[in-house]
Amino acid sequence: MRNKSLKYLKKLEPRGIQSTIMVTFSVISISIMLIIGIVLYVRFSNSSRQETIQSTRRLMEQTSETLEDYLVSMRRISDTAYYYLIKENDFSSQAEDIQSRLNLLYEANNDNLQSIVVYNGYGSLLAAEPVATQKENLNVTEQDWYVQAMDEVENMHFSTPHIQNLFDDNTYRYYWVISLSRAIEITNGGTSELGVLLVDMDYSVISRMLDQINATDNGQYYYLCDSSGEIIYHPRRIQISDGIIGENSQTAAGYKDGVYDETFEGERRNVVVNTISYTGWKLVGVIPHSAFTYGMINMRYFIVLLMLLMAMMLVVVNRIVSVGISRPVLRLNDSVKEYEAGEKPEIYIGGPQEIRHLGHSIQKSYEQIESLMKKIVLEQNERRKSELDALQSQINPHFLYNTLESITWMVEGERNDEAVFMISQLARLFRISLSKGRTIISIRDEIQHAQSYMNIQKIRYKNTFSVSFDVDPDICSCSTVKLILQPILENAINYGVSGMDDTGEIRVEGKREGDDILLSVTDNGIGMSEEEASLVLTDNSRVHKHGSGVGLVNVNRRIQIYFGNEYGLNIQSEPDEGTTVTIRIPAVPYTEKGTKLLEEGK
Amino acid sequence: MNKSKKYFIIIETVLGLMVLILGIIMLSDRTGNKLGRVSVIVRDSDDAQWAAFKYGIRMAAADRGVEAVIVGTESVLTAEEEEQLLESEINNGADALIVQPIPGEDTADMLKRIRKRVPVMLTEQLSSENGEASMLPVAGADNYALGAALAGELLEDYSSRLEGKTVGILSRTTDSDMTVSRMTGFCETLKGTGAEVKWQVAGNFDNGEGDYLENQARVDFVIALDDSSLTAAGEELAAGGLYGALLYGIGHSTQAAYYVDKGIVECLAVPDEFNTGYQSVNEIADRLEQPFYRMKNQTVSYTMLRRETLFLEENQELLFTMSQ
Repeated sequence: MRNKSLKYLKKLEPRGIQSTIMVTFSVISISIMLIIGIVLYVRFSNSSRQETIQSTRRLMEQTSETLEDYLVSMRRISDTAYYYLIKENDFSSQAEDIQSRLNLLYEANNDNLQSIVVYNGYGSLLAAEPVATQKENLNVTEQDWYVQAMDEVENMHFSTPHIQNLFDDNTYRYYWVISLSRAIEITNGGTSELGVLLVDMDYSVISRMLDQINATDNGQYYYLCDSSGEIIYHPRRIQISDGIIGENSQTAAGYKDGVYDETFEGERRNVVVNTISYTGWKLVGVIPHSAFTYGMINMRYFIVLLMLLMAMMLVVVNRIVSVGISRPVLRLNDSVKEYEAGEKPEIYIGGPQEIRHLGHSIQKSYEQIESLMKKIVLEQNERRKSELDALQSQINPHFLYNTLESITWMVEGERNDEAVFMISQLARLFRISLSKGRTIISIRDEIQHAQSYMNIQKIRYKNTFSVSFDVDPDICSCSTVKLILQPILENAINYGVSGMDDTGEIRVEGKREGDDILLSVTDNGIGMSEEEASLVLTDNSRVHKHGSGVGLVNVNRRIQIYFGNEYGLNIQSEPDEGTTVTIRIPAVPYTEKGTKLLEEGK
Repeated sequence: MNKSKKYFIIIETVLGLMVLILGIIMLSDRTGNKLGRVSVIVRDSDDAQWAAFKYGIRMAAADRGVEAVIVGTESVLTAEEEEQLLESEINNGADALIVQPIPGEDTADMLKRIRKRVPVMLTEQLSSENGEASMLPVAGADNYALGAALAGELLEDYSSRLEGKTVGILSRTTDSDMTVSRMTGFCETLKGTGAEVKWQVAGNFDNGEGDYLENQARVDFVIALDDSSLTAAGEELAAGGLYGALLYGIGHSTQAAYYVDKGIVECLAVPDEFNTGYQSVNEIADRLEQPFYRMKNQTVSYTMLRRETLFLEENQELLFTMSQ
C-alpha cells in the first residue's frame, strides 16, 4: 500500500524543469498567501469578537442604567404614595383626599404604571388608582406580592411578571405587570394598622425597553432574570415555557458581573452578565459564537474570492517566470537532443550567462569530439595504409627479383650451399614477414627477420659491408611492431654503406632502458647533414631512390600508432661519419593477450 | 500542446470556475436573508381568538427568518372567496400558505391545485368525503381528544352521574371536520352516562345570530365547541339567558378566559394556539429550506382551565399569549 502510494507520488513528481519551477513556485507562493490570509482572518475575527463583546457590554450597561432609572422611579412613586399620602393621612376621615392625590400621582406616571392599590392587613381594598371594581371573592392575601410584603415588612419587593388578578375589567383584557409591594402603616380611625401598598408596573415598559436591544438578527439576544434564574423578560419566553428551546438562566443567575464562556445545548457562546441594583435581577446578554461570524460570512467569501483570484494570478506569474527561466535550458536541451538524434544543428547559445556558458561548453565539447573522431578515422586509415605499405615492403619485387637472380647465379656457379643458405634465409624472411597476418611480433622474430634480410643483402652486395648484431637477450621476449628494422637497414645499405669498398659496417643493437627498449641501427656510411636528418622523419614526400620505398616516416608513424607519440624513431647523423637510427618502443612482454590488445590499438 | 501547458490551462479553468461559483453565492446572499414569504389566511383574522395563533406565527417567523403576512379577512368567508385570496397571495409573491380551510365542495380540489404550486399547511383538518385533502399537513390540537376531554371534565364534576341531565351543543359550523371531531369525541365519551343531547345549534354568532340561543329549550349544560360559540354563550349567560345552564366549552380568546374568571364558564378547554401558529411556520420553514422535505402533521396540546386554576403560574403563559 505504502509502496503504491510512493509510486503514485513519484508518478506525480514533475520531471521537467519548467514543471518543477512552476510547481515549486506555486506551492510556496500559495502557501505563503494562505498563511497570510489565515493569520489576517484570525486576527480580524479576534478583534471583531472583542469588539462585539465590548459593544454588548456597553449596550448592557446603558440598558441597565435605563432599567434602574425606571425601577428607581417606581420606588419613588411607592415612596411618595406612602410617605406623603398614606402615612400622613387617616383613611377614615381623609379617604377622598388620599384618593385624589393618588389619582394625581397615577396620572403623572400612567405611562409606566398599571395601578396603585392600598390594601389593609386583611386584604381589603382601601384605595386604588385607576378606580376599578375588584373581582368578587378575591383573596389578595394569598397572592405572592402580598405574602412577600407581609413576610419582610422592612423591604420593597419586586415580583416576577404575572397577570394582574385584582380588578374586573369587562374589556376582557388581562394585564402583565411587575408588582412592587411593601408593607405600610395605615392610620384608620386614629389607630395604626399594617397594610400593603402595591404599585403594579406595566410589564410592556420593560418589555419594550429590552425589545429595542433585541432587534439584532445575528443570533445575539438579551434577557432579564431574577436572582433565582426565573425569567422576567426573554425574547422567546413562550418558546422556553413551551419547551421548544431552553435557556441557561439558572446558571446565569449565579454569575457575577462579567463575561463568561459557556456551552449550552451543544452551542458555544459568550454570556455577558450585568446586575440590576437593588432588585438583584440579572441582565444577561447571550452572544452565540455563530454571531461573531454572522457579519463576516460575506467577509469570508470575499477573502476566499480574493485568495482564488490571487492564486489565479500567481499561477500565471509563476508560469511566465518558469517559462522565462526554463526556455533557454529547454532550447539547449532540444538542440542537444537533435544532435543526439543524428542531426547537426547549431547548439543553442542564449539566455542567462550560465546557460550561454553551458551552451558554449557543450558546443566546444562536440567540436572536440568531432575532431577526435576525425583524427581516429584518419589514424585508422593511416594504420591501414601503413600496414599495406609494410605488406608491400615484404614483397618488394625488385628485392625478390635480385635475390632470386643471385640464387640463380649461385646455382649456375654450383655454389649450391650458398644457394641453399640464400633460399633458407629468404624463406625465413617471408615467414616472419607474414607472421600469420599479425602486426605485433616478438623482438626475437624481428631481429631474426633483420638478420635474414642482412644475410641476403650481404650476399647480394658480395660482402662489401659487415653486419653485427648485439641484442640483449632479455628484450627478445618483448613485443614490437613487425618490419621496423628492415626499412632502416635498407636505408643504411642504400644510403650508408653501399658505395664503400669493404669498409662498410652496420651494427644492430638492442637493449633495455628503464621501461623502454631501444633498438638501433648504426652505419659508418656517408651520413647526412642535420637538416637532412630532420627531414627524414617529417617529409613523407621524398622520393626514394633505392629500396622498397617504405620511408622511415612510415616506420615512425606505425610505431606511434601502436605505442603512442612518445615512442618512435630518432636519427643522429654526421656527414662522413655515419648515421644512427634508434627505435624506442615500450617494453611490453610478448604474450597472446598483450599482442591482441596492441593490435586492437588499446 | 505540451503537458505543462495542459496542466496550466486546467488549473486556471478550475480556479476560474471556483471564482464564478463563489461570485454567484455572494450575489445570491445579497438578495435577502429571508427564507420566503408565508401568507396566513384564517377566517376573521382580526378577531381576538387568533391572538395566540398570530403571536406564534410572529415568533416562529422571527426564529426561522421567514416573512409572515396575516391576510385580513371578514368573519364571513366563503370557499370561493378563500380561493380568490389564495390565488391573490400567490400572485403577490407568497412562497407558502397557512390556511384555515373553509368547508366546501371544491375546497379539497382547490387546495390540491394550490399545493402543487406552493407548500400549504392547514390549521384544521379538511372535511372531505374522498379524503383527498387529508393528505395536506395539519397543525392543531386533536379535536376528538378535545371534545372527549371536555366531556371527561363534565363527568368528573358530576362523578359520572348524568342520568336525566340534558345537554345543548353550540358550534359555529356543522360541516367542518373540527366540529365533527369535537362533537364525536364529546358525545362518544358521554355515551351511556344517561345525559341527553337535547339540541344542537350552529351559527355565526359573531354576526348577530346569537338570537338563536334565546329560543333554545332549557338544558342543564351548554357545550360550546369553538371559541365564537363559547363567547356567544358566555354573553348570553352573562345577560341571564340560557336558563342559567352550566357552560363548558372550547375556546382560546381572552373573552373566553374572562368568562371562566367570572364563573360563567365552568370549564374551558384551551388548545395551544400559540404552538399551532409556531409549528405551522416551523414546518413551512423546513419545507422552504429543504425542497424535498415532507411536511408532517403537528399536534399541539390543550389545557383545561377552571376559575380556580386560571391564574396558576403554569396557565399564566397561556393568558399571556392570548393577550398579545
